[in-house]
Amino acid sequence: MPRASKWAIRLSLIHFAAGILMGATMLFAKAGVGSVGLLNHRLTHVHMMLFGWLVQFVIGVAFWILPKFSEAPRRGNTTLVWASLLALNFGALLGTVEPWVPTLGAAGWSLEILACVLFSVHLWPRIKGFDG
Amino acid sequence: MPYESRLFIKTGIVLFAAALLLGGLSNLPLLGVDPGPFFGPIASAGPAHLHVFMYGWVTQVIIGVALWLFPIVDRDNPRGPTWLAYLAWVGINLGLVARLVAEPQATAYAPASIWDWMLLASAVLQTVGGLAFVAAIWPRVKTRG
Repeated sequence: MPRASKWAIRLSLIHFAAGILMGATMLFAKAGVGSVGLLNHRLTHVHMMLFGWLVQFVIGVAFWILPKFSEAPRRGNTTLVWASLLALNFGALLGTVEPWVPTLGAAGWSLEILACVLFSVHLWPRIKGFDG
Repeated sequence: MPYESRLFIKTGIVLFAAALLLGGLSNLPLLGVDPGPFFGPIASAGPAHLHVFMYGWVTQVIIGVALWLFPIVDRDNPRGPTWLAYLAWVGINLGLVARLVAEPQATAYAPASIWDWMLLASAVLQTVGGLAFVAAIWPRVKTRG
């Protein structure tokens, strides 16, 4: 798999593990173990799991698997992909503090949206038939 | 497709159907229909329903395909320790079932009940399941060579 995919998938797995642990503490709180205030951190869990894990994993696999071009660069503009991954991970990190600092959370959402747009621009021409 | 992948993907599909059913049941009160004493609490548990969709369906299909398609560890042991995959399957699915049953009943504001213990077990099981998958797939996230 290409290097960008390896980075994306490994980072997504780290977000997945962190998000699961976050979710477990919230479920513990729901069962009366730990601070009930943890239940207010749902957005942290959402940023970790939706963007940090799910979207990033999909980006990593899509960049690897989807049809390549017949001429170099075989996978198209990789700068867009790296920019997308930077935006996504910074966005997810900022998003994790949203319950405490909503403005940083808004910046996080913006970066996550930017990441999706950047990756979509990269990916669009690769969605083609084998004769393309 | 290896057996563990088939297990995850088929289970994911079953939970997809279950999540759709739960969604339907949760909307019955809008039509003036009582879903009953058994399905009522389950259908009203929003987070449990959401996790059946996201963890039970989406993540399990991802896991199944990843275990199938990712680069091999080495020729002698292509998919690494398969017991991690089975541990992931047991943890995720038992955890989700326990959550579906316990979450509507458990509350942080009342004395500990059997439902609280079941919810704690669900949290541990789901965590063990997810981390087992991470451990299983991590060595297979690599460039060629």
